Amino acid sequence: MKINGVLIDNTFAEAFPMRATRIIITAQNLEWAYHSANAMTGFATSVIACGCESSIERELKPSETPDGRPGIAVLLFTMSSKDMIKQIQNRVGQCVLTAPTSACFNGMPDGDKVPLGKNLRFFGDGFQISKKLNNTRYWRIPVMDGEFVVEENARMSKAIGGGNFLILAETQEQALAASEKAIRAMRKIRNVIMPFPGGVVRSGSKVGSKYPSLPASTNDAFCPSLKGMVKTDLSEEIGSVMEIVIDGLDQDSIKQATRVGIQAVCSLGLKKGIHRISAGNYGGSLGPYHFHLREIMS
Amino acid sequence: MSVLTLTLIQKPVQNVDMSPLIPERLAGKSLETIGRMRLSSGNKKIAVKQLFELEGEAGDSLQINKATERLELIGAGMTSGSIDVRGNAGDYLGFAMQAGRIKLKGNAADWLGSNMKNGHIEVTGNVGDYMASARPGDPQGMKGGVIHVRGNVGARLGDRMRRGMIAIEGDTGDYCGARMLAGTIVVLGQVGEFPGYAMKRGTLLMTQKPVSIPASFNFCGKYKPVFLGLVFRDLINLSKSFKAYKDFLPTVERYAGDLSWDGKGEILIMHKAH
Repeated sequence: MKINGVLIDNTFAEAFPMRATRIIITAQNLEWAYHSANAMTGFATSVIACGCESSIERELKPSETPDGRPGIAVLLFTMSSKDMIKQIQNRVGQCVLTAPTSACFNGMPDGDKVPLGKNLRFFGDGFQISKKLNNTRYWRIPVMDGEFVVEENARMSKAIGGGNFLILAETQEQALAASEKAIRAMRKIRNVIMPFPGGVVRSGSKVGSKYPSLPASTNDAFCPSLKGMVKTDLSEEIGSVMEIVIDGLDQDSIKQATRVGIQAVCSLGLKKGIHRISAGNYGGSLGPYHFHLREIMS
Repeated sequence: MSVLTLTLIQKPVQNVDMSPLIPERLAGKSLETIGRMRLSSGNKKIAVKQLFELEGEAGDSLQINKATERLELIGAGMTSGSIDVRGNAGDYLGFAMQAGRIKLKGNAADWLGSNMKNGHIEVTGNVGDYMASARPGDPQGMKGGVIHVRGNVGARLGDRMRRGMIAIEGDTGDYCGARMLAGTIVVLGQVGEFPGYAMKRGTLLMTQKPVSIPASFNFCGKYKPVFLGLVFRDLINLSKSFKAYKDFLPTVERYAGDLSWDGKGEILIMHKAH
């Protein structure tokens, strides 16, 4: 399969079950909502060392938020419910509670309850006030700029992490330009995040290492500088590879994000140095979700 | 949707207990069967057909026309459906109501929404004393749901109220929210003396200073509470009168109290939009 001269590999991305929640952060204006959301989603690129994968899903208009102020929807993915409880408590406690004018709400319509303000309320040292409106309990915690309002519980659902595709280009500049275009298109899709910096990862990994203590190491088959040293997956003209990793609330959203991302890359075409689109997998034996590129793009 | 209409044909001499006439108890019954039902009135029982002219079909909706203050306990204990009352209602409208909706186009007497657990009551006119309050001996008054009054309300509104939302577009009498345990009362008009007297928790939200504030409330400064955005988000669905407050998120003066009862309640006085 070729789109605009770009070869779509006959391969698939292999993804894994995760747990996910959506948190809504509001503030006096979008700038301060972003400060809080950026802090909360910082150091959250991969569960391997960050404990969670998190990023901003989209901006919310005042009419879309519970308190009628501008807001940001953040998606947070973990490998287990236990991790989710810990990550929410730490990140909301340190990054949202602390951010001027912020408030924090659940953004998932259903799913299992997970404490949001339920434990954070104790920061109020007995001065916290509960308010139950429309069958939802909120906590008002007195803070130095006024009051921090936080919903008692968030909801978490089953989700999928690790959807991906690889962009193989002639030069680093071309690979990055294609990645940026893909990310701009993919950020319009709801229910997904691309958790790596700028949405792009340049250090794709393989399982295992020559060093016994390392569970993962550089994906040498896709490293252009090792073409002559290892069993490479790159042809001679490929000089740079970028990966886009997608976490999503459901398979359809990941497929849609993959489709618009690859379409954006292919719109640049061979003329702009884009040669191939591939995907990362482990042979299909580890992750139950397989996103076949050609099936998605057909 | 089937509607059963009851039109009063003679004003009762004594108060009539209307609690048997709730949608879930009437649904599926014929007009004849309903007409034979007997209602307590003083020390007598009166057949429904002696008091009302019946029309329509019994289902999840009930309409009472030409109602008077002699009709008490309208919608008491109802768990579903809706009751539309045209005229005035007696005491205990919506008493211990558990779900459903009551709309009164007229005035109501005392104890409206007392012991109410959930549901929605709307009154276009005025309401008497002890609205949403606990009866003597009851530990708690209103325990949930929403009451919206477009007119004025008498004294002791929300006495021992435990949870829920009360929105008053007019004035209220003395001791508004007295002995309140929790919940929210919003008053757009003037509030009488001693609001929040002996309140434990809960919020009294006003647009102007009450006639007096109990001495056991401490002034805690002015600020912009974000949670008012949540409150007015719900209230604008009740009436346009609340829209202005949602749009500008008012600054409030906060009085915490009643300090003789833990002081976790509050009186919030909103500054008008400018």
